[in-house]
Amino acid sequence: MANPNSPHVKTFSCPNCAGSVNIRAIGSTINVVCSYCSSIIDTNDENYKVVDAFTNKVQRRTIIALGQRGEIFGTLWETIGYMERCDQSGQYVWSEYLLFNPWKGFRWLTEYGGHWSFVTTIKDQPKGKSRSNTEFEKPINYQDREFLLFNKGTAKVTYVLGEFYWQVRVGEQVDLQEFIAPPEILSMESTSDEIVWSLGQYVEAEIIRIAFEVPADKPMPVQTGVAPNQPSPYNPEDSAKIRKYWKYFAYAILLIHIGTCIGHSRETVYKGQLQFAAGDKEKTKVTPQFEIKEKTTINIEMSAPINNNWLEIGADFVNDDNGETEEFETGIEYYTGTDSDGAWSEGSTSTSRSIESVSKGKYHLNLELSGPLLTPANSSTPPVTDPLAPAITYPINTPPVIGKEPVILNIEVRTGALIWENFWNALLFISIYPIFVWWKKRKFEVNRWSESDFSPYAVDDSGEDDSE
Amino acid sequence: MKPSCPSCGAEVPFKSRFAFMAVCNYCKSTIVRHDKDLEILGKMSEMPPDMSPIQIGTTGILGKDKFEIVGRQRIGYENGSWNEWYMLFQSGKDGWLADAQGFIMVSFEDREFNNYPALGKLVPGAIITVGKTEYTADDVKQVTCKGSEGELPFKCIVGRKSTSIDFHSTGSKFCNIDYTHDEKHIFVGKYIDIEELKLENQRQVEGW
Repeated sequence: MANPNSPHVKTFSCPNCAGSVNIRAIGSTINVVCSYCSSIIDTNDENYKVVDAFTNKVQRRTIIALGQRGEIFGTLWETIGYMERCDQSGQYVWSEYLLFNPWKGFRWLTEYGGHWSFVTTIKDQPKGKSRSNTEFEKPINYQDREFLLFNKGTAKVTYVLGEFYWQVRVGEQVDLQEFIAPPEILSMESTSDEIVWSLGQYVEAEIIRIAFEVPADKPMPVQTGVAPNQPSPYNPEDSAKIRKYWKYFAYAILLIHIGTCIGHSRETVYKGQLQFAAGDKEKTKVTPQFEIKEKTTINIEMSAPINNNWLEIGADFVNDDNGETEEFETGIEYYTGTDSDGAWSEGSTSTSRSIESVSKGKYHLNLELSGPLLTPANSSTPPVTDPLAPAITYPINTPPVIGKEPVILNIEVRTGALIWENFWNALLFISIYPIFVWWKKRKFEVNRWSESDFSPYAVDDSGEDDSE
Repeated sequence: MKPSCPSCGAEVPFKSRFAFMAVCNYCKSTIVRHDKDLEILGKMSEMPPDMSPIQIGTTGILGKDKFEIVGRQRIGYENGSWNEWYMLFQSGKDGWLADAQGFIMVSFEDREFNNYPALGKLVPGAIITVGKTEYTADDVKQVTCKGSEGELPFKCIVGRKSTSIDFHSTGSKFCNIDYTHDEKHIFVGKYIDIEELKLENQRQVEGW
């Protein structure tokens, strides 16, 4: 614990209230706040004078006591000053502790919403793309890292305590721009006279609490939200690992998939045509019998040369040995035309269906087609009645001219088919965790940027509710 | 024969060939060197206290060149004060180590420079070229010597007033011009991490 009577502290009487005032950074400090009357005293020359005895009135109990020493990043620091500043709206108020070490000079410890940063003034200025010294197009570069603009506004001093190495005044305002590359934050404070850049490093609150021996009766401020420079718990190394393992799994699935298919012979067991016409008495057509020599996956492909029309296909895949039937329905629809963008087409003239685990045996297909091409010519679409105008009826959606030509359906049945659906399902399954992590990571970033006017998520975000 | 203080007879080493004046370590007389003669200008008051870990006799190394701190002046201005430590290098050159609000800057006087702009032209934003480097003026300060000790290359007596202009360049480079009514000096250097200098024989800072 720092002892206020230790020899490194210089003591004098406050010119306003005669209370005892300490100076710790002797030779650097030029303004000191009297801890009794809160007057700001200028100590730059021998004639100590009060420069402000009125505006800095409200006494505060700081979380870290002034004079307290603590070690951060391997260096011992003594808290010598404290100030509170607010933004242009007055809504956001943050705390800043001034730290001193005779060898290292000054640093800042800032706290907002329970999040702490260790801040160093820097002399090598970051490079922006703009010619101007105070206006930066995002992003900017500092020590080969890219920082994104997070905040642009002002910072106004609302309260001071302790000592400072510059002329500090309550109400003094600077322009503030902040850029982030978590866990770092670059701040540029500018007035008409000078520009000061500083680099902040996020520090866990617990490190601060232990280092500065914050007593139990002064609870650390409750953490809210995500700080601009708070490191994401979803770090890039973990993401890279997840990507690596996902890739391994995906390759494995692909190999297994291909492997199972190579194991089966691939041959066409049936290829033929069936003719369907509008006037057929027997609607269902039957293929000749075909033989499957081993248990396999089969693929049934059907196509019909139709245009601007559709067919609905009802199929039974029948095992002639035991009568077991696999029923399925499919369809073919194909449309073409031209519009202002040129020729277009939609749909396909073919359809296919795979059936897994088909046992060795003899099979045939029963097929039934329906659609406008197979509707008898004398039957017309029933007129549609408009309920609001019952007196008038008129047909709508007149179907295309009904062709009297029969419909030719080409059928091909192959064994040893690859069922890509299984592959995609497996791929989707191994992607669940990566997608979940990605989503959590993104949510963290959205929260980080929720207080910024420059959020890269602002566009996607319009419809989302990200309040937690 | 080693020079001695005309007032008290104590040895006044004048280690640097550039040394123009010295403050006697014993009687605090300010002594100016004229060829072989030493002249007393007056007495120097005690230096104002500070927390600097550097003192006269502190040694260190910059690059491969060892140096020793042989003098110091305390500079004050409207909004604070800082130390300018006079460095004498083993290679014979001299330099300045400024110690201001915890920032350490090492600079060297460019004694060849003769392209000084008129003082009136030096406003924040003004650009000068020294060697091949462009520097931009940051601020113009009226500064006063608040005290000095050891040996120094020009007349640094209490109350010496000058106009000091700080410039920055890319990276950590900076330069400074100091104008008095009859002298001009330009210093070119850079910001440095105090640990790079491997300082020895530091002052024991009270309480630390």
